[in-house]
Amino acid sequence: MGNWIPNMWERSYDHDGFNDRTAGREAAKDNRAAMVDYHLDSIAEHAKAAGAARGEGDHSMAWIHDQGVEAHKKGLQAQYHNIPSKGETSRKATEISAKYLPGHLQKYNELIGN
Amino acid sequence: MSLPNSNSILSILRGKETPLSTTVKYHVNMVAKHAEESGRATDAGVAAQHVTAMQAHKEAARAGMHQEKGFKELSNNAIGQSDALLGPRHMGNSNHKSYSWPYNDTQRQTTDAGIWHSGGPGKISGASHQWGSRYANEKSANLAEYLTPAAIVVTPFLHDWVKNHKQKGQQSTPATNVPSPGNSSPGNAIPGGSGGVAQSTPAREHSDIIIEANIPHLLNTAYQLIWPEGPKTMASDAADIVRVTSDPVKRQQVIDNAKLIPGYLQGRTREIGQGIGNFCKRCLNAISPADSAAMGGHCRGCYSKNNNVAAV
Repeated sequence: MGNWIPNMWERSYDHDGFNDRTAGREAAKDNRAAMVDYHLDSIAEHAKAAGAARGEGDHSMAWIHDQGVEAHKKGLQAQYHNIPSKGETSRKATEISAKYLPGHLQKYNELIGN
Repeated sequence: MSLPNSNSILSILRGKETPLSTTVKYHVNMVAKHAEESGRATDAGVAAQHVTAMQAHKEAARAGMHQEKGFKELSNNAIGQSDALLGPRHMGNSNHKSYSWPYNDTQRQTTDAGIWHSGGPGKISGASHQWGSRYANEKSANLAEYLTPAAIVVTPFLHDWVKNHKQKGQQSTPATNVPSPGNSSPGNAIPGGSGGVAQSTPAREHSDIIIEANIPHLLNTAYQLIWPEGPKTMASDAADIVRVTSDPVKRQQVIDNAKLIPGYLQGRTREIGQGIGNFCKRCLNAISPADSAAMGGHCRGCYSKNNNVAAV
C-alpha cells in the first residue's frame, strides 16, 4: 500500500510503527475529547461570569468574559477539527481564562500533561 | 495488507468526522446563552432552570461531537428546555442554522496582522476582511475611506485616549481635535494630529489607552485607527486596554457625538443618517431586516428583539 496515508493522518499521531500509531491514535482521541470537554465547560463558565457581570452592571468585565467564550469556542472547534494550531488556540483561550477564572491554567496544564 | 480502521480513515478523508455540525454549534451557543442567563438571573429558581438547560445543551453538544448514540434524544430534550425557558421561538428551535459562531468551518481567515475575523454573521459590510486582506498596510487617510458607519462610532473614544494623556501631562492638544483624513503617517492618524501625541513613542506602548466599543469586531477597526501598522496580535492585548460600554444612553451619545465630528464624517454623510442600514440600539451590531427575520426578530449580537433596531 505504500505511504498512501495522507498527512492529515500522519501529523496527528506518533510515527513509531503501525501498532504504536494505532495506540497513539486512541490516546490522541481521548485527549482531544478531554480538551473538547474542557473548552465546553470553559464556555459555560465564562458565559455565566459574563451574565453575572452584566447583572451587576460591570459591562467591561462582561465583555472580557465574552472574549473568553469566543476564545474557547475557537479552541473547541480547533480541537474538534484537529487542526494543526489547535494547541495554540487552546493555549490562547486558557490565557484569558487563567487571568479571570482561577484554576484554569492548572486544569489546562493537567490536560496537556505538564 | 489490510488497514484496520480504514473506514475511519475514509471518513476523515471524506470530511465526515471533521466538521462541527450546525446542530452542535447551536448547542454550544445555547450552553453559553443559558450560562449567561443563569449568571444574570437575580432569581435563584430561574438561575437553576437555566443551569439545568445549560447542562442539557452541554450533554447534547458532547454527544454530538463525540458522535454518541442518543444524540437526537439529548438534542430534543435540550431544545425542549430552551423552549420552556426562552419561548417556543427561541432561536435554536426556529433557525439554528443562522446561529453565530466564531468562524465558519471553511472560512477561517486571518489578516496580515494575524487577527482572526469571523467571516460569519454579524460582520459589518465585510469591513473586517477589507482591513485584513486589502488595506492592512494602507495609511489612515486611505483607511478612512473604507470606514463603516459603525467604525465611526468608535472614533469619539479616541478622544478619551487624548484626554487620558492630557491628564498625564503627556500632551496638550485639545480633546476636540479629530484626525484629519489628509494625514497619512501613523503618528498623525491618532487624534490630536500633529500637535498631539509624542510621535516618537509608539502608540501601542500606552497600555492605559481606553477604547470603548460596543462590538468586539469593531475593535479591529479601532486598532487599525490607532495603530495603522497594526499590532501583531490583538487578542492578547485587548482585554487589558479595552473597555466596553453597554449603557444604551451612553451609546446613543456616542452615535450623536460621532455625527457631530464634521471633519471625520466628511464624505460619509451618505452613510450616517441616510439609511445605510440598521443597527441594534443595544449593541450596535449591524442588522438587516432579513437578518433580523432569520433570527426570529433577535439581534445576532446581543439577542435583543428587533424593536431595539434603529436605522442610521
